[in-house]
Amino acid sequence: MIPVTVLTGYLGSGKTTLLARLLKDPALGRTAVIINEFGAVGIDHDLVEASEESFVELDTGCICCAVRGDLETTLADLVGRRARGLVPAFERVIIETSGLADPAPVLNAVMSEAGRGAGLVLGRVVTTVDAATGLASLDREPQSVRQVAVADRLVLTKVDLVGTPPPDLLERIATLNRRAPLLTAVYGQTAAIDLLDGPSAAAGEMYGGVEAWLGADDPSGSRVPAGSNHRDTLRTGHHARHGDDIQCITLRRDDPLPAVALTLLVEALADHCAVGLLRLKGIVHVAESPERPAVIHGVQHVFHEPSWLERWPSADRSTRLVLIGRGLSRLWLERLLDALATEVAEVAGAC
Amino acid sequence: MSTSGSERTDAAVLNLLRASIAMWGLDATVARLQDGTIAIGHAGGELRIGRAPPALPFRWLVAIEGRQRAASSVTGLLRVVRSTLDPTWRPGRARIATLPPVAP
Repeated sequence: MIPVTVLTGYLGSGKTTLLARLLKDPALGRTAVIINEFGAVGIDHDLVEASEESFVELDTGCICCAVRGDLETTLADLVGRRARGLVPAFERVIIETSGLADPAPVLNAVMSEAGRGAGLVLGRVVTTVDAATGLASLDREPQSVRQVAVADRLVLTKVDLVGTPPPDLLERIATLNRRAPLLTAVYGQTAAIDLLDGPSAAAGEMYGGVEAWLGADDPSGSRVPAGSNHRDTLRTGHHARHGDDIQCITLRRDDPLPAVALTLLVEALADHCAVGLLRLKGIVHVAESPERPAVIHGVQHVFHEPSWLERWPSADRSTRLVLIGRGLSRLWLERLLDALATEVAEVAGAC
Repeated sequence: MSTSGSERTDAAVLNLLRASIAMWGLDATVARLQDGTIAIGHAGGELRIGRAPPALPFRWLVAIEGRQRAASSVTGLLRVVRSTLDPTWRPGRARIATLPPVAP
């Protein structure tokens, strides 16, 4: 599978500088780059396919933009040309969004294209935050908030300009997203390995480190023993935070979830939460697969089918779901899971 | 089906419907009637939610002003209820993106 990394961040936050630096890393030699929602680009010294429409030159190679419509079309075209040998066999794709972009539709498009069997998988979302102006952007621009909220990796840029990162900014970022490791880039310099997914990563690992997502928002680790009171038990993260109007809700469940209940859950989320659901990640203890947990990932109403980890990544075998978005109701989510599992159990008991 | 199992499901569905009405921001009331059916009262009338007869390939029946709509799961039931209470609402159908098969 080819991981697709989404590089986002508000206007002037240093995305392109970071990208240019990253592409100097030999480890990223075979990387295709798509800039904004429209331009399809192959980059590295082996991968030059200039287009007459537009052409941008970087130190490491060339960027050519073939404006072909929307992102899905661009991705499909890029993968198709790779398959036909018209461009070198790139091993990863980086999408640099525009500074004003809402990241959710971009992630949605990547997942939709991945669903067409193109061999793509959504990798990490990397968000740059300007150490000097980031706080003002977060105060003023909703898109900036969304970009930070959905990140798997946050990169504080222009730290060289401010010396010490402003505590207010760090606090604000932590309020919005405590899951994502916060890295710093000085003059755009940071280690690619810390930011991007490797091309040989297993499917589960490509989901931006589900364990990291799940662990950061529920440090309590408390739960009710499976099967207690003959009801499915469910815990929610004690630290579900509300930054601006972005919610981060962590659900935890000890009892295994029947596969059909998981399917019904996804359908219900798509029905009722799609508009507000920026991202969902989860590790699920599926009753039919007790030794191999399922990893699920969703953006708005698009979900990947579950990928299966080889084994549980830790001793914690509970189902954990993290949802980021607007207009979500933790109570509703809890009760939905409870009702679905109870109904499925009832049907199974009747068979 | 065990009685206790169906009772647990009924209780869970009642709780879910109450939470759903609140999340959807609708003005409606949810109550369990003595015969076990769930009644949702709203400005346009009342919905009655009950179990579908065993002979039918559904689990829930929703009576709406003399008409009946069926649902085969809690997820389907929510869809019926919300579309009835809020005619402007359209479900956002899930799109499942496939990955290369990794069998459990």
